[in-house]
Amino acid sequence: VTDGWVGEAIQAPDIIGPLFGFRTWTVAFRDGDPSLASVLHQTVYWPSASELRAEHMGGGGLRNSHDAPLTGCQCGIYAWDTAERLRLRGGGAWLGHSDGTSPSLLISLKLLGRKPAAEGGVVSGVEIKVAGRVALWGKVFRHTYGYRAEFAKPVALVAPSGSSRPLLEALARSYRLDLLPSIEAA
Amino acid sequence: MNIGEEHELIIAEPIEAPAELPVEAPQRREGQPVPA
Repeated sequence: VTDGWVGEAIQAPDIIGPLFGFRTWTVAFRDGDPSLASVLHQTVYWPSASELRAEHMGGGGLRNSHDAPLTGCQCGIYAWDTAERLRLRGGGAWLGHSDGTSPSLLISLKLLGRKPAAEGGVVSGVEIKVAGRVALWGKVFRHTYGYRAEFAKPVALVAPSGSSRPLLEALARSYRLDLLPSIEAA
Repeated sequence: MNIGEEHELIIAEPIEAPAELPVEAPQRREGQPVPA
């Protein structure tokens, strides 16, 4: 006999502690202060003092509102699973070589083209990118090359040689992150 | 960002462990000797 109470299923963690991934952000300026924003959704700002929680933003073949991430959908906070993957598949050539030297053609935080982007992610029509390591937790879908997570928080930023130290230092200060010389060190 | 095919769902704990519960001093039962 039950009294009508139906408890929620409790999900025991598979991993004690967060997973870690690698990703890039767009640098957005809010009230003059630099902020990390999603590359794809440039009005999604990453909070400096707390975690970012994933939201289903439409698309992915599933129109209805639902908790993110959901199996079969494209929602969630994305990250590559390794630094090498970010470099090779994630357009991270601008991060420099693994020995810490800068590539000859592209350098972090230089102008990466004049592609106009969505409101909030652009300063004078110039997109600025920064890379780093993120902690991922909650519901996390493991994909072939990376993750799709419910919660995320940056834990380190990369400052390859030739990059804009003052801007990166301001971001690292604001988010209380380590500033590392290469993505492999992250 | 093409991270490939979805494989499995993992439940991972938060980045920060929850704050430790306060540890109470053990209660001395009546009749027990007081530690030196």
